[in-house]
Amino acid sequence: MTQTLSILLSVHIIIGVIGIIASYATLLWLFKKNISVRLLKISSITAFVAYITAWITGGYYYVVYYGSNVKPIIKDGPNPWAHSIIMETKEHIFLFLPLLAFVILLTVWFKGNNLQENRPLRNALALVVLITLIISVFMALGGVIISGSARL
Amino acid sequence: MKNKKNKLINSFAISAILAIVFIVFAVIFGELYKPFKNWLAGAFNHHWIGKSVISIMIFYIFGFLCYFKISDREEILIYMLKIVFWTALAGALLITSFYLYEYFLAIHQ
Repeated sequence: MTQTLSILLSVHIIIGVIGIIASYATLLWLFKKNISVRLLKISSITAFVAYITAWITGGYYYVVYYGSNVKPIIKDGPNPWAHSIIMETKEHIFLFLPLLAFVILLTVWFKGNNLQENRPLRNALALVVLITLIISVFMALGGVIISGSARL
Repeated sequence: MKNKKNKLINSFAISAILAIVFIVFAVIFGELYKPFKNWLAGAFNHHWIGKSVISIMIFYIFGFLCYFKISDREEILIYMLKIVFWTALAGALLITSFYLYEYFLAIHQ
């Protein structure tokens, strides 16, 4: 692997974890007694930027390197399901994240001041943040399984 | 007076739903009907880039188009956010189930 690809993969992992932390923070801050709109705005835009960056860096690595170099190793190894199930699922469900993060971002930035008193709106937004968080955690765990399978 | 912020959130919530539905469709249909997957790969250099580009186009084009038609009511906004949640959950489960089926149950010629 070239140094550029190695850096891109590292950025993908680090920025992905930042996205998870930002989504988790958004969910936590939504349920605070006194909702801080400023903090919600910071966490929601951080999550959106993180998922977009993870998408570009991970996508480049996946298209340029993974398919021709890592995929055959996993498919011929003891855990071919790591590609056939985990990677196939991960690469496609990941595409939901930037869309969900953008909807969260819009809602927080435009309706942030209404979240304190409008509980149904807050709860509905929390559901979208929750599914974003669940998917992003699944992405990270999937990445751990895939990289582990490539080393076996 | 129209609430433009509500309209914008509602329209992008609808476009997110449409984009997620497209991704799920493209994944399952692409695996079952290889010419579709091959077309994505040929037109966009890689099938995954094809799915990414088309889903983003659906998201932003419908996001702006729906703006002119969508309601600005707050109840609709809350309802749309819930639909976004259920669509993402169902989409994730469908894709996961499909690849589990493909790996464990499907018989490939």
